[in-house]
Amino acid sequence: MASPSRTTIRNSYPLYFLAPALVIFTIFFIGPAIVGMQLSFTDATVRSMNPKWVGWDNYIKLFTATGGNIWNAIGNTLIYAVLVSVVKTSLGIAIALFLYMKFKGRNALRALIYMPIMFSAVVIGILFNYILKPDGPLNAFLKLIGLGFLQQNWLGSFDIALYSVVGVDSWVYVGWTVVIVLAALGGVPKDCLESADMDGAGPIRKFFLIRLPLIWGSVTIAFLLTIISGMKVFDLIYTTTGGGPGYSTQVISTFIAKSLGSGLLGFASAASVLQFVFISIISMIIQGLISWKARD
Amino acid sequence: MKYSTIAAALTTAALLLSAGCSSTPAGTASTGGKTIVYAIASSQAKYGGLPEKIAAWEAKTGNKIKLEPIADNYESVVSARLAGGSGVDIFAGAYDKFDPEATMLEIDPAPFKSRLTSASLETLTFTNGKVYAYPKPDPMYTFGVFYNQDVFTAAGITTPPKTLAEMDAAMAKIKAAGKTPMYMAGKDGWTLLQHRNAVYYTLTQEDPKVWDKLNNNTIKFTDLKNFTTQYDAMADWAKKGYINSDFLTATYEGSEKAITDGDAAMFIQGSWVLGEMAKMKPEAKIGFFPLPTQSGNSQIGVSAQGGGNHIAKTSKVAKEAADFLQYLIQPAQVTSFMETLPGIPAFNDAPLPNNAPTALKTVTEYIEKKQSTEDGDNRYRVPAPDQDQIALYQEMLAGRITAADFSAKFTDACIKNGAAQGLPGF
Amino acid sequence: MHTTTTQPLKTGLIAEWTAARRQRRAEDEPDVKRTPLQKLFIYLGVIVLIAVFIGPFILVILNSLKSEVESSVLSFDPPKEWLFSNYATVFESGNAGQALMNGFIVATSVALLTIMCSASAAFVIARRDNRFTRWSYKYLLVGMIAPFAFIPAIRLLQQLHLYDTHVGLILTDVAGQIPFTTLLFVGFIKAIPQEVDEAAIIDGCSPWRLFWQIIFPNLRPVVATNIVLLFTFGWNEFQNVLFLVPSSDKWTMPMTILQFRNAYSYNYALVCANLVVSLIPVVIVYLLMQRRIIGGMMVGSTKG
Repeated sequence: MASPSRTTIRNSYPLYFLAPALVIFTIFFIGPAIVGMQLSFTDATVRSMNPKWVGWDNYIKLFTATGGNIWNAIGNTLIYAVLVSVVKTSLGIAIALFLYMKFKGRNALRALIYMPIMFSAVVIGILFNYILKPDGPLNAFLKLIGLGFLQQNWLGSFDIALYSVVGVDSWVYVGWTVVIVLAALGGVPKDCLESADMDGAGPIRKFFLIRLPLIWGSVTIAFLLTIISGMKVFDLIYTTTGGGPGYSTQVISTFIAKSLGSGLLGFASAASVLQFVFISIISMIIQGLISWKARD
Repeated sequence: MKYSTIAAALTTAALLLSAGCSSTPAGTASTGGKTIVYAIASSQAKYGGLPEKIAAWEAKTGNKIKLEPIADNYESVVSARLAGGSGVDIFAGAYDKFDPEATMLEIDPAPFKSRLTSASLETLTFTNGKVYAYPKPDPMYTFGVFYNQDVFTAAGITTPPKTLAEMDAAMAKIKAAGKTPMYMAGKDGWTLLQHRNAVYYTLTQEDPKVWDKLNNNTIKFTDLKNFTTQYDAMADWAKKGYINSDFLTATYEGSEKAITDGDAAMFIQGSWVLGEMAKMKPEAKIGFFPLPTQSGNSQIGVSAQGGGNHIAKTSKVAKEAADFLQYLIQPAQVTSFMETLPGIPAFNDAPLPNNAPTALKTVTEYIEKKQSTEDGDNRYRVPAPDQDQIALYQEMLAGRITAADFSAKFTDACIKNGAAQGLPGF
Repeated sequence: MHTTTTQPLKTGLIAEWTAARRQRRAEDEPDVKRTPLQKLFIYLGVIVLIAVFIGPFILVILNSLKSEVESSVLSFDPPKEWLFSNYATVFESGNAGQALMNGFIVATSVALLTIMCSASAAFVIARRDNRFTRWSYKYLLVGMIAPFAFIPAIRLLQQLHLYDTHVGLILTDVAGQIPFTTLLFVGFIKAIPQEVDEAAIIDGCSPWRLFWQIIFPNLRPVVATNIVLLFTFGWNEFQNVLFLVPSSDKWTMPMTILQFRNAYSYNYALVCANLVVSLIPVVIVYLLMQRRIIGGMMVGSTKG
């Protein structure tokens, strides 16, 4: 059987197959970013019909006229992203190690832990607004088991609201890290563990000396990817604290949403572009780290 | 092929379905008549039996009203549609939130002018002297302090405080009597802004031209003593524990309940709470007094419900929209609105019903005695940076920023918005 | 926004699907004997995990059946009187019926449209290696990192007369999902040996038939996983609806829940009932497809 000519093969993969994806993506994803860049150099508001070109004004205002709020938002975003990654990764490893053990109902438990990821952030937000109320179930439970001194105004306190949202985020998405780590654990070659058994290593030493190094690659990737998604966080914060109290849980995306609330399209677009650049740079560094890691 | 055909068919069906659901363009004829899109804040969509009144007008004229309730960012959403030139015929809102000259149809007030109270006509008049709104059929409101009279009596307070010093003394007595003097519902951020609105009323005392000066940025909030003393006082209340300790998680409904139940003595709100509280607990005795000031020369102003109803300049059914808005303010409709939820009368021919809450009578007396000033919220042309102001209130009440910081940041946020808006002088 | 969490997960990790299926690894812990004490610890761990992850849902379900007064404490006590009428109220006054319908339209369209666009694009990207396809691939992957510029999107959709329409919402959702879905498909199509195509091409297969009849059926497992992920994305998506669809009669479930919560903020029972209504479709889909979703992710991520 003669193989088909190169031209025939090439013609079997017509470039127009790419068109729908490229067109939709360009108009509806890249398009807004470009419009945003234009708007960010104008004084456009939702009210005005004919925006004027104002150069870098909006960007300057972003850093001078917000009383440092933008720095607060950037700081909160970074703290949030890093904390959420640390919590999810460490808890994720712990739960994965537990669920890696053989016992009845283990698979059902794995399914259960992944389930919250399927739910809307709105549902999660309302749910935890209820659970974390000052007179809500969590505080009632703490009191019941004699830990009443730990009771908090979880989402309403300036000092801990951000950490409470980190906790909620971790509750929802820890299942993802668990799945990744479980998969990595499944990939650890049997003979490594068996030879360690013969050396008489205890479970803790076995974990740190053998398992951890072998799953380390997956763990780092999971860690870095959760940082990226943590930096884009919007809906969980919007539905739990709305950025408050005060500015204590304000992140970049809620900052942008709030600027829109005052109708300042140009200004909000400048903030949007800033977020775009900020996240892209950090993500590119992270992606670089990942591919560097993967090449190892 | 099966796989793809089904998928393609399903997608097409879904897209068609969604297109059918969503793209009834505004202004096209549907059942012989015209369709008018009425964008309304969702909290007001069922207010005072509005749907029934719409139905009656539709039956009478054969035209259709498409009522579109909008929940969040009402002004932004409407402005976006106005800028797009379609999707809205009738909308509401204070003049500062829009660009009246560019977006609203000028209205000849002659048909309703004589029926309106002077305060009501005042709120419909834009800074250039022209009218761009039909009055709303529902009553007007004002902002100030609403209090439970029994709690005051039990704490030994006989007359409502007028000066900030008297206010402080009254709060101390209430606290000593074991009640919360002032209830703040910080979880619903907009409630905090009712204090701001009440503060605005006090500013003209200091300088009758204050709003003109603020509008061209020749004076700043931080320069106004009546402004700064109010926030000094509030920071002081917070420090002395006169405000409920859960003010960050307390809700609007919670605040109404706390006052009617007598757990707390006062809260600062708009007068619409009176009707709502009367429904919650008719026997509760609720009183009203204007926000105390340093001098004790208290004043209040009035505001039409959100600044009247406007017709979009771009509307292709302006005539029908005008007819509808005029129908809404016929005496029968206005009286019906007043009975459903009483408030400050906007029309001479629909006075307060006899069974209205007593505090409303007090409020109305204030207005009639001409103790009212221009309404600050209506007069300020800078779009209010509401979200920032809410956050600032929360920060100050929690003691994280001082009253001086509050005033400075409040001022900055307003100036930033004025500048972004391109207002002269900013 | 947070569906992005699941997106990158398979980033470098997918192509191994077929390979991993063939090659068995030490997927399980080696057999061990446990002491009674160890067993006790395991049971304790199980109980804690169940309590933490099921507790909140039990709380919602129990309170959805209570009266307004009773639900105001939000306790785990069983309802004194089981008020199923709360659910009727949700459908009557909460617009739940309309929202379910809207959600179904949006989620289905998003899933199908994304899969068709991404799969066909991935087909060419995986099979034809030239500068344009490489560039296109990189271009699409930008969408996985960059945050979506929702503010300017309002302006853009207005100019296209798609603001406040389902079509605009669906296309925006699709645009955001294309990058990751394409990435997934590229990995899987590469795993299908190219000889399969060549045989079909010799038989005179058109590109259209080659893709839909030969390649696409081979992608069934990943298409199924994607349908679930994309459907739940469309169902749950909230940010785009919030900013791009202001009219309440076009909202999907999350926005109506939020508004219902605002309207009934004092009636926890009704809000809980509304939450349950919105969760049911997702839970059903999840229980049916759970093995496929988690399995797909685990296999996909084995290599790391």
